[in-house]
Amino acid sequence: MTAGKLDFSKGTRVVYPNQGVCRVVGQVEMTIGGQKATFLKLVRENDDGTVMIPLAKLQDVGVRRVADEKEIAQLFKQLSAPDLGPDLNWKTRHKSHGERMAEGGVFAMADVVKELAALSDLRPLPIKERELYDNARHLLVSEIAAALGIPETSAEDAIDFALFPPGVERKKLAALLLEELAGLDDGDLDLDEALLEGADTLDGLDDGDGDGASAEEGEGEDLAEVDDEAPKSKPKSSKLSAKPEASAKKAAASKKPSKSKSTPKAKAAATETKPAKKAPAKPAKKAVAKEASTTSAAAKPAAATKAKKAASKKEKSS
Amino acid sequence: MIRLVTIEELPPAQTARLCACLYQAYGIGCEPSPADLLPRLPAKGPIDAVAFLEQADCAEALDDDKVVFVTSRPLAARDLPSGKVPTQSMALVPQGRAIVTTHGLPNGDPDRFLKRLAKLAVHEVGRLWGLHHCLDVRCALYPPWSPPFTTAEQPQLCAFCRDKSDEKIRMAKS
Ligand SMILES: [Zn+2]
Repeated sequence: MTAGKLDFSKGTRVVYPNQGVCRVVGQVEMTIGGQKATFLKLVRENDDGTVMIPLAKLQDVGVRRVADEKEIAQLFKQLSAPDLGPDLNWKTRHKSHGERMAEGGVFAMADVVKELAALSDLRPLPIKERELYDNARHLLVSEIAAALGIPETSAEDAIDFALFPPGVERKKLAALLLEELAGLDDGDLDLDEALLEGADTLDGLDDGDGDGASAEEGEGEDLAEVDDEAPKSKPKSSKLSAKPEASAKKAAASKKPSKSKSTPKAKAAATETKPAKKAPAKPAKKAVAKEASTTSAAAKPAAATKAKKAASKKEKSS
Repeated sequence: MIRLVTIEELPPAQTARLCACLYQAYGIGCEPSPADLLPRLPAKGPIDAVAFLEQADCAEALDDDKVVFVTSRPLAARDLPSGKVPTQSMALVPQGRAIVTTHGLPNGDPDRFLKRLAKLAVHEVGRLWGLHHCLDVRCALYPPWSPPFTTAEQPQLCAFCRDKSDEKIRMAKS
């Protein structure tokens, strides 16, 4: 999917990483700083904003065609597949998500959405990740809608029908998983303090800030009663650095989602967990886990995969 | 302004409460409007929500108004790449129109019935303002077929969605 093979005739739809689906307006000659250059003029479909890209830089910025139906079918397989759980180390997670967003591939965006949805099963997302989730979701929705010629609301329903299957309560799956892991030592698990705090409130779904030893930036969400006053602080948009250099490493990352859980950094983070935090989580988790065990069988592979992972870790460490 | 168009008759008290819920959620006025520009509906069977919303209109609606149609007829499930998605409500953003159905709502308890109906309407109006599905199980923007949507019945927005909708409404006004 290189820029060289792209059709840039007027009206063609293309995807500009991190900006979304755009429509080609045409080529424009401009002189900037005494240098004459030809630019490709695009209009973002989302907000009618104009984007100008020097023709010589098209490949570098990663402008690509809209995914085709075959790729979208593959994408939904990826979204429906049991996930291996989120990367619990926020540093590697932020880095990986930033790279995937900059790369802008449709599979990479789906990875970000899926991983953050899985993370939110365990704890409320910090505000920056919540914004990132919304941005990635927006880009994914608009590309699927453009690729299939369906309304954006239908494209989003299709995504969430895969991520939130009917009859399955995602947060209960997380509780089931934590219950299965309850017999293991904390040192064996990749649970940071923020996660454990989130787990404490899985049943009550307390939206308080889960910040802990990981020093993760952000805050939880409070549910506003419809007649409450609006919250004082507004979430700020996450500004992702959309660096043009699409290295071979990034290309590889889009084909094979990088799970950094086993990196030395992730291991180091795991040693920061505080066992004392775990005790109060148990009663709430048990109650939820019982209900979760009665949910659809389709729900179980994800939890089972994760439990297996944790069990194998325990074996290794013992 | 949000225009509420009831395709079949809804008790006036329920229409008024539904308008009040939408006003509370988004801080913009909501008024009932007559069902005067509807496409011909099939004599029986479910309504195709997308086809309906592409054609239906409301004579009183101005360009930036959001129109919510309420029907008691079932809406047809949609065939999407991830499966056949049950449809209790639907919105078409470019047209600024949404439809919700009371079909399948618990009608034994008027209070529960209204809360569930209001939650669907708040959900779809949120999408008309460009909001996406939310991760907060108690938020009205949570995927509507997923269990927490029906068990947590309050038609509320989480702080994130509320901020987002405030921002979008402010931008639309400016
Ligand atoms: Zn929300």
